[in-house]
Amino acid sequence: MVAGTAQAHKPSDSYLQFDVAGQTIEGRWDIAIRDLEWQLGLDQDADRRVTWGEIQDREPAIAGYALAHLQARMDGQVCDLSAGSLQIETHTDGAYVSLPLSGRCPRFGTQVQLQYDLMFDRDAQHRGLLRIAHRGQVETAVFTPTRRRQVFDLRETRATRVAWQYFHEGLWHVWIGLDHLLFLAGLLLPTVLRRQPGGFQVAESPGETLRDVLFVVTSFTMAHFVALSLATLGWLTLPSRWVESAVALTIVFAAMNNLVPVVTRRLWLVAFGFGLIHGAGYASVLSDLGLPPITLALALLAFNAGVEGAQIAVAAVTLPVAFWLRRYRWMQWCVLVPGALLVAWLGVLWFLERALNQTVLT
Amino acid sequence: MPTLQKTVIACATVVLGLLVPGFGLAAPYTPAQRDVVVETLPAIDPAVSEQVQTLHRRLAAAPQSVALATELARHYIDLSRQTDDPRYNGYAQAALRPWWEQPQPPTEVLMLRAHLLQNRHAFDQARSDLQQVLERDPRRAQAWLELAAIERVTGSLENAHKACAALLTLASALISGTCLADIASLTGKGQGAYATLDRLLQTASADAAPGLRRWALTIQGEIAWRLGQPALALQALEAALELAEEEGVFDGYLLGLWSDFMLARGQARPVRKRLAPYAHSDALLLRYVIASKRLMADDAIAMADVLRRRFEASQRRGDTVHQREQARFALDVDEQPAEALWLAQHNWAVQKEPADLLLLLRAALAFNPAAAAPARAYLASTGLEDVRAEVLIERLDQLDAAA
Repeated sequence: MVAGTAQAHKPSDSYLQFDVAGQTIEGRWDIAIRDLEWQLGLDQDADRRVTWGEIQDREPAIAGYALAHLQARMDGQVCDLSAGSLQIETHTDGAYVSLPLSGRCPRFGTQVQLQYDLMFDRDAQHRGLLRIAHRGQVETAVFTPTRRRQVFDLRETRATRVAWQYFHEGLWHVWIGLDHLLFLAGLLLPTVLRRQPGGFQVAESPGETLRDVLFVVTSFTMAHFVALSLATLGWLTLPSRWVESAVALTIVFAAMNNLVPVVTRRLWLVAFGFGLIHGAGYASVLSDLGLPPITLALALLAFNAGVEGAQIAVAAVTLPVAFWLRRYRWMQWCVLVPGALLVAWLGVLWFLERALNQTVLT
Repeated sequence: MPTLQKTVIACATVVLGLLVPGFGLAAPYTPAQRDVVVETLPAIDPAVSEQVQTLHRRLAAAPQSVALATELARHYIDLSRQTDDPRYNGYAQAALRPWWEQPQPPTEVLMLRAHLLQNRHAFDQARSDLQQVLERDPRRAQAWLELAAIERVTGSLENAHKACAALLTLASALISGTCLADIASLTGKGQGAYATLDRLLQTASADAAPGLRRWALTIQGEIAWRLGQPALALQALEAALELAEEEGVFDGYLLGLWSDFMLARGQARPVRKRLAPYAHSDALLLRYVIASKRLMADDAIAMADVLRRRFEASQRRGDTVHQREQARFALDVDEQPAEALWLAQHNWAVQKEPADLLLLLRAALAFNPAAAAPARAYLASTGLEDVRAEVLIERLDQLDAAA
């Protein structure tokens, strides 16, 4: 298909990148040739084909037009921006003129103010997409007809905002993942109560249970963090179908282990192994964020804190109840056993659905 | 309409004529020679282009003229519709700038603003603009029709029915009848709606505009599919496509619907073939990618990558108009059920067409059966008959029964 090279039909954007260091500004500005055509009439022979020559001939006009619609100030003092040699850059909707920018501000300050006015008179849905870096921190912003001026504090950190956002995401992802919750329940129950040949073994002291739970949850989360980090950074890519199937198997195992104990000691080791699998299952969530490394690390940490928080919340609600009821026979025979069987059965169904691509159950 | 035909052909030429590196990380480069063509501009019919230029000039001389500004905006909206290129919507909005932020602009501006807002999925604002128009002029058929479309998309079927009913005395039987039948079919009266459309199409054959017939046939095809009548559905959709071809009109909704129907029946090959010229449209490229993936075509991975980059670009703008397509992409192409469910849930909060319902059910089935609850509630409250949804519900029930 030739359309492999097809332009998307999408609204108009320009892409602006700035690096601020001390008094100097370096950057690049990509503006769609289609958008410049309207203002400058680049296609001089009107054959609808814009050649590199036609662009080179108008280089001063292009740079002049662009710079007339962008202003940078540092603490209110206008910085002197100039354009370097034009190049061409391809975005999803076609070719752009890529304009290298460099500038120097009269004095060092704590704030950068940018004023952007490109194209708005012509296209009210035009957006200027900005990425601005200073001291390793990156911020993004969007210029719109009603938000043409944006101020960036060179001291402010966005860290708390990013952290909060991803903490929230982490909570949400545990919450919508029923399999995650069931798995956790299966894994944590044996710290309170577990079947053994000839009867049930119940936990003796709350302190011991608490310690076991913390061990399990923490090692699970650490492994989750490791796998998720590797997957997000692209160092580990597994086919999602395999991972999803493996997650289902871990559910079966966790549930069955309550009935026919295979692993009774060092449960946290199992939790660690399973954490790796579950973490890989969430790989898609954070990838392709385009965040800089430091922010990405923060996002990952916050996301995992969210996951851990949600897990602790679930454990905090269910385990005291389970602990309180652990000695009752009905709890053992009417809740634990059928519950474990049910979770195992669900796990099997999930496994079949995922491994065989949803053809079994129809 | 030969103008439209030309535009469509020109559009395909742009697609075919481009020589741009398709994917991978783009980096600025310097072309080797002066005569390298770096960009091919879209072709607009010279007559339209001339009209637009003239209007721009006249508007520059009289910037407060509502008549000139709305005429210009209407030209751009037409262009956007014909080429499926949203840039023209931005031009239309810019033409209306002096009135855009006004709470009570002139009626013509309200109509155009509602259209543009609806296009960006700002349904609430679009609805209130149309309601304002109808308060001023309750006999304005076009406003009722667009209001019905918004109420339908957002799942307010009772309001949609009211808007369609208002058309009974204001528009032709084909228009009001199709509008009503569509809504009736979404509230458990599919059989009757299908028969009504049959009757309307027969009686209205002589003088009805082909665009209206195409619309009625499209709705009829959708109804037949939901009722589990694939032969009738195919017949209606093929007839609609034929009309579109005769008119030389690009109908993205119809092409997408037909593709979904074929894909559901396991016919990926004709989908790939028919959609090949429309890769500029994200919604149609999505179907092309799904078909290619199923056939394990050579370009499947590369085209999926192109689409992924387009979604990223739209996300950077802060647009959410692609959530439906993105959810389906996550589900069918990337096979990331967690992400698909998240997107399908956010999409469901905005759009409630049968396609959105199916997406939510499928994502729930793939990741968390409990997440199907809102879709179940919607089915129960509307009485929507949809065999596709029934199959999914049955599978969800099996999971529940096991639980």
